[in-house]
Amino acid sequence: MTRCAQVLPHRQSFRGRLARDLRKNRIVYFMWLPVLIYYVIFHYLPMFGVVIAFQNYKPFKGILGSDFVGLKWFTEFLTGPYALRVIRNTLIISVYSIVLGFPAPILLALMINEVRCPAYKKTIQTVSYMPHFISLIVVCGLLHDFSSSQGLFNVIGEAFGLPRINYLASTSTYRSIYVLSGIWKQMGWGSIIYLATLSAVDPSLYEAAAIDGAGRLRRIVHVTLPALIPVITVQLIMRLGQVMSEGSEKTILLYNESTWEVSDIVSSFVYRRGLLENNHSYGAAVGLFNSLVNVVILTVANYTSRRVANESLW
Amino acid sequence: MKKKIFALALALSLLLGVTAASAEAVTYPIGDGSQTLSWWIPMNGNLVTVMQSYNEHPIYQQLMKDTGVNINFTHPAAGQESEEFGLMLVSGELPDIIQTFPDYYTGGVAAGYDDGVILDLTDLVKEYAPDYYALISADEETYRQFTTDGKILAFYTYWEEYNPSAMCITLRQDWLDEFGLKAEDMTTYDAIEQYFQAILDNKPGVAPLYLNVTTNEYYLGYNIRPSWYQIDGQVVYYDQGEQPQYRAWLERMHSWYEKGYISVDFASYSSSEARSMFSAGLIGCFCEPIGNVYSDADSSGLAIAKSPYWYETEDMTVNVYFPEGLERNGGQGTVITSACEDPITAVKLLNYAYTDAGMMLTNYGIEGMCYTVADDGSIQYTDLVLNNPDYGTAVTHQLYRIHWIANRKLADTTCNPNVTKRQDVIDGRLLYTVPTDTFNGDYLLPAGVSSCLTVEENSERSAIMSNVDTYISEMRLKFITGSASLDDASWAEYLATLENYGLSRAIEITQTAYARYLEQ
Repeated sequence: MTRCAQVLPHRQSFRGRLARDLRKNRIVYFMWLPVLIYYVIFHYLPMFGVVIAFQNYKPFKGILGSDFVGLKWFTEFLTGPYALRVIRNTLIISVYSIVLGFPAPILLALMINEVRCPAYKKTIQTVSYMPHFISLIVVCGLLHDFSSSQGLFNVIGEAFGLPRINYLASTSTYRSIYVLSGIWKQMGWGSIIYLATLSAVDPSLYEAAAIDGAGRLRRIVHVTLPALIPVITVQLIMRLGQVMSEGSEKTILLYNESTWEVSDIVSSFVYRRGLLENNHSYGAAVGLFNSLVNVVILTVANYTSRRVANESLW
Repeated sequence: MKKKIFALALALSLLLGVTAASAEAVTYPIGDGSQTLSWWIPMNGNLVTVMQSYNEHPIYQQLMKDTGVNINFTHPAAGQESEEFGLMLVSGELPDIIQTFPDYYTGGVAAGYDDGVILDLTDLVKEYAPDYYALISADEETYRQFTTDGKILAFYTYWEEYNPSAMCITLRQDWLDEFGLKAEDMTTYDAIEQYFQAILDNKPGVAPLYLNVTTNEYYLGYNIRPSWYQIDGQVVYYDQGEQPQYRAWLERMHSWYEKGYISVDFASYSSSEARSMFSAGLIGCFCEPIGNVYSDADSSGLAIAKSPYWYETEDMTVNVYFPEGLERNGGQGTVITSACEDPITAVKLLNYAYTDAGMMLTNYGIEGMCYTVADDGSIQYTDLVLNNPDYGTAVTHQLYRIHWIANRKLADTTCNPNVTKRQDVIDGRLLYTVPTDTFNGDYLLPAGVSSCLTVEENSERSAIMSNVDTYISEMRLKFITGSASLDDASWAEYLATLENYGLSRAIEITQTAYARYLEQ
């Protein structure tokens, strides 16, 4: 496409250039079309639905017929007794997941990358991807059984002299189970992108480092890691952009009233209020507020990264 | 054919019976089969694997034949009823008839009528549903239960007779024998402690009680209910009034938890898990519908016993039980939507289940196929229902009769083959559940009170109650497990927090609605 721009005289209008480009690269544009349609239908059109956050939305009356109530739901949420708690829990669980969960696939990728025997390497990769393909509801069912007073965790715990408790009903263990099981499930899958990057590293760099007398660890630090830095930065910024969007599914499957104090997050709260109690406007308002917080965090993370690491999304 | 004659005969006898009332009786069939009405109804869980739609249901097919009106059923996917109900409203394509409408529409029928989703049936019912109208207008209290703000907005199940509670506090008979205890002596919280303690002493690894904190039966001996009720006309929520009963109950449960009587998993177990734990011999006591209890016992081979309800003291009177005995209204609110083009036919169709023929059809199924009538008039189910080669009675009682429909409904102990198949199940269902001198429903708040809330009151109350209920259910578990103390200071703090969340305002709203209900 750059070639086109060079050939064309500059004075030709934008429209003319576009038409020419569309003709010339029609296959590429055609391939891009489904993506465009996907974004329009599933991400841009639903945005108009956000107005229900400012309405007393009644499904039968529809968006046009429902009464406008301004910021009523935002005020109700933010002045209500649970706003602080669900925001705090979301942040704690998310940060906990990032601190422990973000380095995990990188370390795994580094280790897999060092394995020499190809058959062994393939086996480890396949086995580590597997949890990703187990349905969440099955994983949560397993955790539920393992955590009960008769379950696996208690059998192990008892061997170390711990009393039999229900790990999912205890406020002190709930978050650990939530976060660590998430790491177990996604670590292998998350390492793929890093392994793909590593496969593109020029082997001559390793050779040169070896000739210079670098041992294995030094080669990892000075060759492998620098090759990963751009991917890591982009991944981290994108991950930070989702700090507040911890999904509701897993929480709903694992929590119960005795752990709400530490387990209830924004999305599960929205689910209960918005869907179970049929207050769609309230749910939409909290969801919108949540997205705003996300945007702020993403912007700050991107800015910081540009300043500190000279890498950024935009 | 025989059935048709039978139906006709009944319809005729009915015709004679109600000519005293102003409206004319409806003669069935009302249509010639050319008319089709659409009917939205969540499919019963037992039938999901049996059929795609109630259009394949033999009794509904007969209902269509008898009334001469075709019904086109639509069912939401199991487990997504609420979402699909919402989508249906958004799409604007309403069916003619919606069953269980108040369960899914925020604010119930009152809000549904206010928003223009459903029709006011008052005049239509008077004219075209004489059988239903005659039943619900029999006396003032009944009329109040079946109407909203004086208007008839839905057809509800009408209990023809008292339906004893299905909930059964279940104990292990073999263990009772082993400990030298008798189930019928377990009449107080103190008495049942002997059973629990004996399990702890003799059955290592067994949790004596699976406590489900949302089950009324565990509370009633303290004369409280985990919801709304009233004491001498004064509306109370969770005993947040003058009496200290809820706190006393929590103290008892906390002491049980401390002693190890309550399973440490009680907060995270579902009732299906509790059932399998009981069957596996890991739990000594739980409370479930008696049908499940007996079918579990049949498959596990365990000897079980039904416990009496536990009282705080032997000589007290319990005023918070047996709503079924007082409430004629059995739910299943079935409405006609504003999209219905022929509400008259729809009203006539719904009226059929209140006629004698319709009552027989929905409660017992089709004569000859599902049941036979003996010379003495007693009704006997056929092998198709009782010994079906493909399905147990848990399925056939839904398949060869219509269990959940707005109709004139007989008690399960009379006509539900899943109960009546065995005398011991009938006896078990009746045991301890019939109101006595020490048992009544004086404190109960009629279900109709909530439909007396205005739309504004309803939204204000539900905003308050949403926070209150979250707090109460969390604190309840904390009090029981001991992670929150029950001493005076923290109890005062608990009450102050509820006050802060606006509970007294919610009580005030409910009190006005109750007054309005009584005025109706």
